[in-house]
Amino acid sequence: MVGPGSAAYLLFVLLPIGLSLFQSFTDRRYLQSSYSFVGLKNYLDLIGDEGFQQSVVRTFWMTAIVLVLPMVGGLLVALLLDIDRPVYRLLRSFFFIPIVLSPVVVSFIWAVILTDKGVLNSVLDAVGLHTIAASWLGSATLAPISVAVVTAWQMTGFTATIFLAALQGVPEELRAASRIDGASSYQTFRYVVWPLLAPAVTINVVLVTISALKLYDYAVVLTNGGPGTSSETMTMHVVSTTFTNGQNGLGAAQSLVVLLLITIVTVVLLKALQRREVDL
Amino acid sequence: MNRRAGSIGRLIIAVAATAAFSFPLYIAVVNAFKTNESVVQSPLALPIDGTLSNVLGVLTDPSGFYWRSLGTSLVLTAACATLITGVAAMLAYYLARRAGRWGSAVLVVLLIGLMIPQALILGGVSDVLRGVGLMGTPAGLVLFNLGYFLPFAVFLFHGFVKALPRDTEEAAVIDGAGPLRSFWQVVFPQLRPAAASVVVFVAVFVWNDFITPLILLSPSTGTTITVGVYRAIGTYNVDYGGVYATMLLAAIPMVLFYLLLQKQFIKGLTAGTSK
Repeated sequence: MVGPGSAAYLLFVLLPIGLSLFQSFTDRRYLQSSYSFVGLKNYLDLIGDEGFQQSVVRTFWMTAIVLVLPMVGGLLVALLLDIDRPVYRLLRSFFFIPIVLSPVVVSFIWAVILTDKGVLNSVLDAVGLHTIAASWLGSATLAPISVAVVTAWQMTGFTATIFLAALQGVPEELRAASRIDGASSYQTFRYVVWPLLAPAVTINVVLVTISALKLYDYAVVLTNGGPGTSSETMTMHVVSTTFTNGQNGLGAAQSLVVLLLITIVTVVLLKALQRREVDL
Repeated sequence: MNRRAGSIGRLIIAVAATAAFSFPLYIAVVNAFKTNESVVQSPLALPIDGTLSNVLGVLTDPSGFYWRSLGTSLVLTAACATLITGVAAMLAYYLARRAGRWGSAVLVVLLIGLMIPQALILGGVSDVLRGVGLMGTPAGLVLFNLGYFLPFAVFLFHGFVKALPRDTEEAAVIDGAGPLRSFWQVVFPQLRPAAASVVVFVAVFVWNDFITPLILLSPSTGTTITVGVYRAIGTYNVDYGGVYATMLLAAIPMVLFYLLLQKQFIKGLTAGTSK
């Protein structure tokens, strides 16, 4: 049993990375067995590849939206619902439900809300706010923002649940002591509770950032990267280079660059947040 | 008096915030039971003139996509969850107790695989699967998931194994139990909390996964519910009631699974978050 486990990992995780590295130096095309070595050509091509670069930059600012909304929203929700009563326990489970839904289901639910003649625009019309009504998924400016906000909605359920668990781990005596010492509720939060939430902040920031950087399902269902390529993420770009255009060599180079970017961001974030945990 | 007013105010804000957050879920549920005209005319209203025709339409679709993909998803999810839990528990135990210095070296190699997005290695994965003749088959998907989720599951079990006392295992060996028997009858039962977390996590990921079955399974050999939903929606895109009924039916198995195992879900998700 030890053997098969390690073998599956070697065959289906490490070997594919090795293959990508190898293929990134070739001009291999999908399902073709003959290819020749092209050296660093695929990597050099990326320097002038605007479509790829734009998808990388776009993914990073979409990640900022996907990170900020759930961190702030999730913390506020957790603070609001951190009371041990049946009613509040019931409310909490509503925030958990989106976590078990697949991003595909979540995106379809939102697609019917955000589409041009969808629920949101018809509600805005009905209450006389038709000036705000917009093409949420059909305009090049709004589409990537809408994709990020839908992703952020599902992530908020996740961050709120993590923050709630951490809040329940804060000993009641600490809060009581702080109150007796005359601290305001803001001071109690800032100097007693917030430092104890540091590990939850670390987990939330790292997991949400990784999920956002590999954003794929939401964008495919909501906009399919469009209009044009205005909401195409870097993962989508790699997949379409490799599978749609059949350029395995170029796709492999792109996937390794994206993998390197995600690894760097994750390691830097993790180190910074863990240092912060020690300092607090 | 003042305190009481404060707590009622807080409850009102809490209910309002939850209602606002759950608004998309409300929309999805009520509109699954409406005719298409009333979805367009009054999307917010409760389904007073409720109809089951959307739901029945999906359940009795002549292509049978719902039942077939539901079956595929159930089998694939169960196979992945069982296999990954069993293999990862044994590997973690071996690394923690038997492998010596090798153990930590293997853990470092496993660490590499912990945060690789599936989408970025699927090009290479499909080459490997084609090489061993498993591309487009459920077995290939299960084997890929075994390798892909192994690092996460091994790390979770590893922490648990290290915290176990050694005396029970030693007693089992003295009583003449072989290594396999002493693992399954003595060690594994003590790892149950970790196993529950791994099962829950892997099940949710495999059930909801989109890109892996989209690329690794071929439409002819059947597909999962998540990909099935994606392919089916394209065919009746303007039938909002039908879309929501499909969503509802695709989501129900996971929501039931969560309601049944609510405690394990929260515990598994929040392990290691409090200082």
